[in-house]
Amino acid sequence: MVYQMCMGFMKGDRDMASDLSQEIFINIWNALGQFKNESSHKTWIYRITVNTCLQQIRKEKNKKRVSIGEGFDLADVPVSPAEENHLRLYRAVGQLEEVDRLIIMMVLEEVGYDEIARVIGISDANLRVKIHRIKKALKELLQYAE
Amino acid sequence: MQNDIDDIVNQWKEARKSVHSQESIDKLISTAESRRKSSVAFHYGNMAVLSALAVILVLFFIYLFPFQETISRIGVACMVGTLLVRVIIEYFSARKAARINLLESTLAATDQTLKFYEFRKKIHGPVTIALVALYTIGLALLTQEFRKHIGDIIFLFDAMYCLGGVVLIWQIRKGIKKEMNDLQEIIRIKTQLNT
Repeated sequence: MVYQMCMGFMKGDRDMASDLSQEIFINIWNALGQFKNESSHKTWIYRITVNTCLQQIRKEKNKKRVSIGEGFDLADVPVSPAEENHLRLYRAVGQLEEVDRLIIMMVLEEVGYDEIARVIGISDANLRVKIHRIKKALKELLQYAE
Repeated sequence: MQNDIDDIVNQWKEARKSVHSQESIDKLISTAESRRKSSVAFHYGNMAVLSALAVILVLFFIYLFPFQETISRIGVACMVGTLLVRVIIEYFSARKAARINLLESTLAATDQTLKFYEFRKKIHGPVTIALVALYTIGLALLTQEFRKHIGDIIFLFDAMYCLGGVVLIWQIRKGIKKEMNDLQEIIRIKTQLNT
């Protein structure tokens, strides 16, 4: 769950996703003592994942690394047709704004809307509006990628 | 629309099957631990360097070159004091950064990060300029007595200080630019959350 969200956030770049998942792992580890049974383990992990991803943006921008989505052609990477489809999905998700990317990935993970709203800290109504807009944008991006 | 989204959810589930971290859990733990250590070292490295510099200055001025004139002693106090104030600021800054709570909602964590960078902006601006100015005044105050003992070599020291100053200003500018970019990023994320 965490690694796949990292893949989507990092536009399918395995190395960057691996780095990011390690960062999340450290943060989960450091916060283990603070886990109270107020929310489920899953919500708690999503919260750390989303916040770590957003903290990571700045580090990545400073490193100015080139990701698959921005830099090189998928045709250069030897992947199976199935994997190519997966990468296309990650690339499409990766083209969304960062917050939108994280919201839609939680939707794809089938996290409940009320849970997503709690993780992000916005109202249910606001979230529904956002999700509607993001779904439309993602659909267009996927159509464009075909 | 719903069918399209269901398709995407299915694609996502399908993709999950091929997604697995290629590292073993033991390797992941050891890498995570070494990354955590290097991150802590990075945070406290600056403080260690500044503290070491303050200690070297104190030892130099006590054992190697004990100044007799009051004005020179004020100069020494300014220089060492400036370094100590900077160490204290770095310490509080590192603590403030560590207090950003990733267990809060994204909106709350972003607000905390925004406050941290606004604090850094203040540190990089008037506070740093005041500290560099005080350090330079301190050096100028002890120059007179220093010159009596070592003669014109003092100009070499001053030239070295100026060179060091240029490097320092360049480093500070670089740091400010990076952190101000970070601040812009956080503001952008906050706008995304609010729209």
